[in-house]
Amino acid sequence: MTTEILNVEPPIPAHQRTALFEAHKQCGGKIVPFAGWELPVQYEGVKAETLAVRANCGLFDVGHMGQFDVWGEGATAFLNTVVTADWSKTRVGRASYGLLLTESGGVLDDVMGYRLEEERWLVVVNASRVQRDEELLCSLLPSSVSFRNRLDSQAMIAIQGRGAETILQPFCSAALSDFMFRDVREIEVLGEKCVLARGGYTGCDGFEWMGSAGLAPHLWQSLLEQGAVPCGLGARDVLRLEAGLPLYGHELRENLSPYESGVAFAVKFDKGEFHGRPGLLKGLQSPPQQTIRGVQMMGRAIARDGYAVSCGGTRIGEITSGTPSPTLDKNIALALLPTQLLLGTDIEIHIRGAVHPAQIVALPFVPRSTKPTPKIS
Amino acid sequence: MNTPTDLFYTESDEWLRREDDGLVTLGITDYAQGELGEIVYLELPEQGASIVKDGSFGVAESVKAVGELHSPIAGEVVAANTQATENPGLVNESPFENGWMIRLKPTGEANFDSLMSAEEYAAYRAA
Repeated sequence: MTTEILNVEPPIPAHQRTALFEAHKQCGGKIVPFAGWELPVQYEGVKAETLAVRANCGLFDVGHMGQFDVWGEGATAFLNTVVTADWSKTRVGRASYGLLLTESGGVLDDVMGYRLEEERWLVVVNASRVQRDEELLCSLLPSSVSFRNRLDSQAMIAIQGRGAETILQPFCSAALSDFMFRDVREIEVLGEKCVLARGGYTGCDGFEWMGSAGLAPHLWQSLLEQGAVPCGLGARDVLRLEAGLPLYGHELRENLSPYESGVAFAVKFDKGEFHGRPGLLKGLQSPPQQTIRGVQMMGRAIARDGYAVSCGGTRIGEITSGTPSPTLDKNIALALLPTQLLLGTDIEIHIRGAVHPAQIVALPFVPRSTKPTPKIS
Repeated sequence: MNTPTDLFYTESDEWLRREDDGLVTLGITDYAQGELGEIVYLELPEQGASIVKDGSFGVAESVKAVGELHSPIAGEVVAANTQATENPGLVNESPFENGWMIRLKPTGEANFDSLMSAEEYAAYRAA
């Protein structure tokens, strides 16, 4: 048997380890290489971990994600000329999703910006894109603005699920019930200052803790003792797919525009100039022909990244991510397909030479259960 | 590690059993099922399909991994374990017994010389 673990890269000699590496080994995590890091793909099992997050609370080590501090006079205006979203409208204490584009308007990365002060931000980016993002930001950085990659000291834990607030609260200096979805504050957790935000990448309620590498193992252990379940990259990928959220390298790529990737909501043309805007506008002279759609398999076969999709025998696109959904007990996928396909259209997925029936369905597959966003953003 | 002594083993973690009637039964080892994790989909060939030496005879998939199954011998598929395709968890629970995968009628004289004994396989996986 030759095993391929999905989304995992072939081993390379020098992988980095997060602050929680030893904790993962102690808990029986199955370690795999991912985006230059050694991380657990699972502990007990992907299915059980996915369901644990849906039922109560799971913990994810996301210490591999890039963390950039951007601060100084004009920091907000600077970031607003680099990301596609309008971060000038993001209030202090709020987080905002945005994209970085290539010159030609393709997606360089998708990022979260946490506005900690008027002119001080924490920007969290995909591990596989850290270098490209840093190069872009630093190439455009004005002299009044400072940039720091937290790589040498970073840690990040996502506490996800409806039980997250109760499990995390005992260690926090602030009332977590005051945090709305995408609120962010600098508070003390276990007596040490950190950045705490409400949100995540699972479609469930939850929090993201960004703090010191030194404290991370202590917090991880404390949360486990409160009943949180350790979860790996596998469950994280299943949950984001169930929530219909895109992943860099799959739905998001340099050769796809935000419209094709299904993240056009994060592009605010009306705010003025931003990096990649001219290229994106040029590409939009003809309307996008393809976009990311939801797919549900009719049988038991599992659609995976790269499988061909046809409709009535004619090839129309390909799968970008696919998985069994433990929450729905169905096999689901995202695919790059013609924009005009109606919901309910019958399609075929080509798997190892055989044709398997599937259907276009609405996204998300599982309704999101994040805490409501306040009226004013 | 559980490695029954009456079986032959491959480096890619399949096992083979020579049955009294000349047929050969194939499956994956306890180690292999552990590496895959909870198997949720098993695809096996139809009865009558021919398998080439070192060719693929199906896949076993967990939520986040796809394992391609290889046969070190050529032959015709006499039976596939439909109980296991219906309930792939059988492979996790009982990889050497109820979770068997296919029975092959070997093409010509099947050569088992290049395969490992239980002792050799255990040492290979412990290395």
